[in-house]
Amino acid sequence: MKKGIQIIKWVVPILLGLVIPLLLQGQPYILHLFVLTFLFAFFAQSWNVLMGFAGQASLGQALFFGMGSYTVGLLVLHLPHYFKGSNLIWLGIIAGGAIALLVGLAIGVVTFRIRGPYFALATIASLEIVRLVFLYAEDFTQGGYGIVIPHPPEFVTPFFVIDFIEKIPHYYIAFFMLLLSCIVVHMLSKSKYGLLFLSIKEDEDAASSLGVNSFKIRLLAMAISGFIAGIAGAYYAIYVGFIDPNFEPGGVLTLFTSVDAIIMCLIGGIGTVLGPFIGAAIKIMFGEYLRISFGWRSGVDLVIFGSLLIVFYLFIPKGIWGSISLIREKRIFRLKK
Amino acid sequence: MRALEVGLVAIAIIALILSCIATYYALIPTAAVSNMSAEISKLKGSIDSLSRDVSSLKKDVEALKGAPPTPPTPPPPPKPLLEGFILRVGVVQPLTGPFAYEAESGLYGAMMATEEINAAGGILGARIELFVEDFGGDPKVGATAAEKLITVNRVHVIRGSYTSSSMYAIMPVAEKYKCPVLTIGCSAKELIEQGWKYIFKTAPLSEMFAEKCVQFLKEVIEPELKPIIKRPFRIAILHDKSLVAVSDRNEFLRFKEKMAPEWEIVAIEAYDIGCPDFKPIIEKLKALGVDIVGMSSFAGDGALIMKQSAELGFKPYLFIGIGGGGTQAPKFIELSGPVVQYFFGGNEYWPDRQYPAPDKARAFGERFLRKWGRPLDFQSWTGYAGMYMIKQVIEKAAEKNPDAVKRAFERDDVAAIREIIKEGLATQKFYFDWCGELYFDARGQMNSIVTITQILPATPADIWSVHGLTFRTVWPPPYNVTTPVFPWKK
Amino acid sequence: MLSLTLLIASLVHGVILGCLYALISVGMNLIYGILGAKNLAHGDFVMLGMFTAYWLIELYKMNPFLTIPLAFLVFLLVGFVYTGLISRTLADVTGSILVTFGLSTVLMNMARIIWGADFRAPAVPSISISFGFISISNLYLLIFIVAIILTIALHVFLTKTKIGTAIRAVGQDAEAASSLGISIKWIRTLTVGIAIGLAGLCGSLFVLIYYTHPYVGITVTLTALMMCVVGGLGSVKGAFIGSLIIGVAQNLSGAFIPFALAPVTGFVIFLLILIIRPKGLFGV
Repeated sequence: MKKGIQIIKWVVPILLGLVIPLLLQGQPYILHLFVLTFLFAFFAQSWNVLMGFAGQASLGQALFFGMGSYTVGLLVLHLPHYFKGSNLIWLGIIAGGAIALLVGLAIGVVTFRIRGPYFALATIASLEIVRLVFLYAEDFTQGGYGIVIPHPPEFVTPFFVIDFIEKIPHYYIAFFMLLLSCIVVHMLSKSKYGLLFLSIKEDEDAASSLGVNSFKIRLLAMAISGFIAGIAGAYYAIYVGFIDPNFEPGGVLTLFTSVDAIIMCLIGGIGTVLGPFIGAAIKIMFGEYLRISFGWRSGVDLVIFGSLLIVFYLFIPKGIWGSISLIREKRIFRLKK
Repeated sequence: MRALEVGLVAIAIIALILSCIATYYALIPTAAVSNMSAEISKLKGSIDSLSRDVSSLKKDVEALKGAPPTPPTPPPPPKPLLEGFILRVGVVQPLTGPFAYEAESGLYGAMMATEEINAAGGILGARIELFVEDFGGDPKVGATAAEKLITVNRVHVIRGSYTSSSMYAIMPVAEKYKCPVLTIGCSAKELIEQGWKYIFKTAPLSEMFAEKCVQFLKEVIEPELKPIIKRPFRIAILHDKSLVAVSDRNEFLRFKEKMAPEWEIVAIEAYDIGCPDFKPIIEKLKALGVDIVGMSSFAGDGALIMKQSAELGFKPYLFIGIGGGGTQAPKFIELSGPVVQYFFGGNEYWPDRQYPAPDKARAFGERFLRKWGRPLDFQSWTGYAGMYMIKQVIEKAAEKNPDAVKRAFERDDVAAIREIIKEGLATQKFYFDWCGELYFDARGQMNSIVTITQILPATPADIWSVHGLTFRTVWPPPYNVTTPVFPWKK
Repeated sequence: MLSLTLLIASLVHGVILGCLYALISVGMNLIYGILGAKNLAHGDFVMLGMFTAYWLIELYKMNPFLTIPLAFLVFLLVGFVYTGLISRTLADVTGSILVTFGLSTVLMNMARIIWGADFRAPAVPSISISFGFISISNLYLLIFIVAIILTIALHVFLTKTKIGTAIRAVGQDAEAASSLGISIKWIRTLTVGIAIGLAGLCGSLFVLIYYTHPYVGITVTLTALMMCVVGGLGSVKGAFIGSLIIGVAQNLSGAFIPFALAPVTGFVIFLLILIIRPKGLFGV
């Protein structure tokens, strides 16, 4: 009986996620919002691993995101024969994740002694250095021109045709990415590494005096986080189709993108598996709702959203999912008493 | 495992709720529509009452003149073809964020044209309705806004956007649904090299600016300045790192290579938009001995460069704006103050142009200034002109095949109307008495005419001036109102 | 010889720019020191200060000298109110990011709604004063003098007076300080008030040499974040010297390498300092 419920709990949400696009077939706009929500939830998950589980307050998450998208962009730019307008570009996602992982390791090595708020600022500095160098190196990255990434062509199989101009394939890709990241992060948090992460989050020095190799654990956290964010960035580049390193809202290598991820995690609940998804849903879906309701009176929607963030923190500082699990823990505690 | 189970259930529930909310609000019309139309009808009412006043005054005057011959009552005009229909136009602009000011200018131009057209009876009776979307400069939100306008509001044509980078995100969406995009702003040349069929770019290309600027330096400045300095020019280029400015710089260098290879480019410096301190660049240029400084900047950055050059005593023979950024905007004079006198710049449109009907252009400029309290600039001009182009397209199509047009509107056949507009924009030639003939070439680029303007002391007759300065079109001949003043002679 | 003049001129401009940066970053550093909060809305208070000074100068034809103390007083009061909000995020860095980012969004868009997206600069005449081959505008000179005086005054205030000592004590260990009879709430209110007051004052100076628009804050915040960490979070002397280092480095490198890469030198120096001394130059 118990097992049956368990299976239902697994299968129902996945089925629901699979069915939603069929219900919304005539609504590409809503599907587009879903894709963005899943994509940014996935990206926010990377910050969640780093800060929520391992306690490393990085403000340079956009660096990993940007490295991922620039991997795809540079592949298209320098190897157009293979990657431009071809389905090989999907390999770029893995490459983007790998490059971002390496960058994460490099930053982890460089900043191995830097802690807390200084670490946050060091990550901003690395982000800005890379952004400025990418802007300057026009021969390599086209600088402020940015890079246009054409949509991958139709993918023809004997049974059906996947057209990547439509939203539905993108919906499923983003959905499975998010699902996978949730499962991986959940398993990570239950494993031995979850405890090790927690130990360096609580007190890095104390942990290392008890024999935890805090340097290695930190590198591991940076690598996982970089990999996830790199994949998110690479997929973003393919989906939106244009990237540039300018300092503008939504720029892939800017502080705005880092802060987006942080806000999503904090709304949803930091250090929880589902927090990023809830936060992304609120930030993107609710933000879009405000935008189309008040957008023509430019600014009103953002004022409302900003005030909500403040009110939100004052009442539920642990985030939505964080508070829910807090309440549940309290209830269990009371029952046991 | 318990937490995971609960979590997955929660994902499902939240996704379900969100999808319900999302479907709900996608199906209802937005507040923007009702509010805009209310405002427009209010304005229409006030215009009506004004015209009633005028006609009663006319009657009084005629009564004073003496009893006029009673005119024969004209037969009631035939009902316009598209009476009662609505042409939906979407506007996507970054109305918040650092580019808000320029974007708003473009929107104001489009709004003014819309009000005028609607007040004059619409397009063959069809009213224009604007659907305004703000995307804050973020490309992905720009794509979202375009998606919404096209699929939810079912607009017939999209106007916008100011930033070139967001156009890259908007255009694939428009191409997918075959919705024409008539731009406001965004002058980067790469936009029309992507093979898109539905882009109609109103702002001139970087190469048009570059060509005119190099030509001006070659034909007007060189004969005057060469005898003084007795060697080829030494030129420095300052530009910000945005797509437009990089494009401007590349084109300027290309044309310089073509038309005057002997000029020496001694420095090319790029800076971040909003940089507060240009002194290292200026000190460097001072040490290098530069004759001419070419700039492609936004208004604020350009103003700081001018101010700080004056502070440091850096006086090249002349400054020239080589691109379509902020140096042709009135804001540039306002922010820089008196030090900006004698600045040359490539300019897409300034209402003092002599061609073809100077008084009409002037009246347009004055009307805009009166209505919005800000001077007409090239953004508002493209916003304004575009709405009249759409009007002419529909009128021409209705002239050729009235039944097909009417049927498309009757059936609310969005695809057909989009196709009519696209065909019209691609093939038709437009004539306006305040700016001459306009048309789009095969790539979707408009034949904008770039002139050189100079910032000169204003006279009371000028439409607009600040710090006692205004723009004057000085070159080339059919358009200019005066001849250039050479700064080094002053 | 030519490059020597360039060197000296860049040095002078760098020091002046550094002083301006210092004014912005000292305030941010004070808030970090006392509350452990990152104030991402700091730049937006500077923006509000710029608008305040702009309207005073434009509408009431006020002397720019007078706007400086006035802006300080106005924003001192604003800071007192702001304490109520930001002290709720005590010692929760991520929480302070959420709250101050929200506030920053609200402030910049409120400014957008109220004053429009216009770029504005007051028409204050700038007179160039020439010292040999270096010329400096009177406005920059004013900023330099005000920055030096204020930094010294603040340093003396924090180290020599009783209240200053109390502020530092609360910053180091609030509980111990409270057991010594210091009213923590009052000290926090005062410190945040001074910090925001400095931001407003800084805005009134900044508007003289820059232009203002509602979205100017984010750039200022980012700059201030970098400055205050070079010297060390939570120390006035550190923030001042850090700002000088970055200002000079940016100007000097800007004169000799492509200006596009000049900010990079600042960031690289910053990273190197952190790698060698993980708590900044003067961090504890």
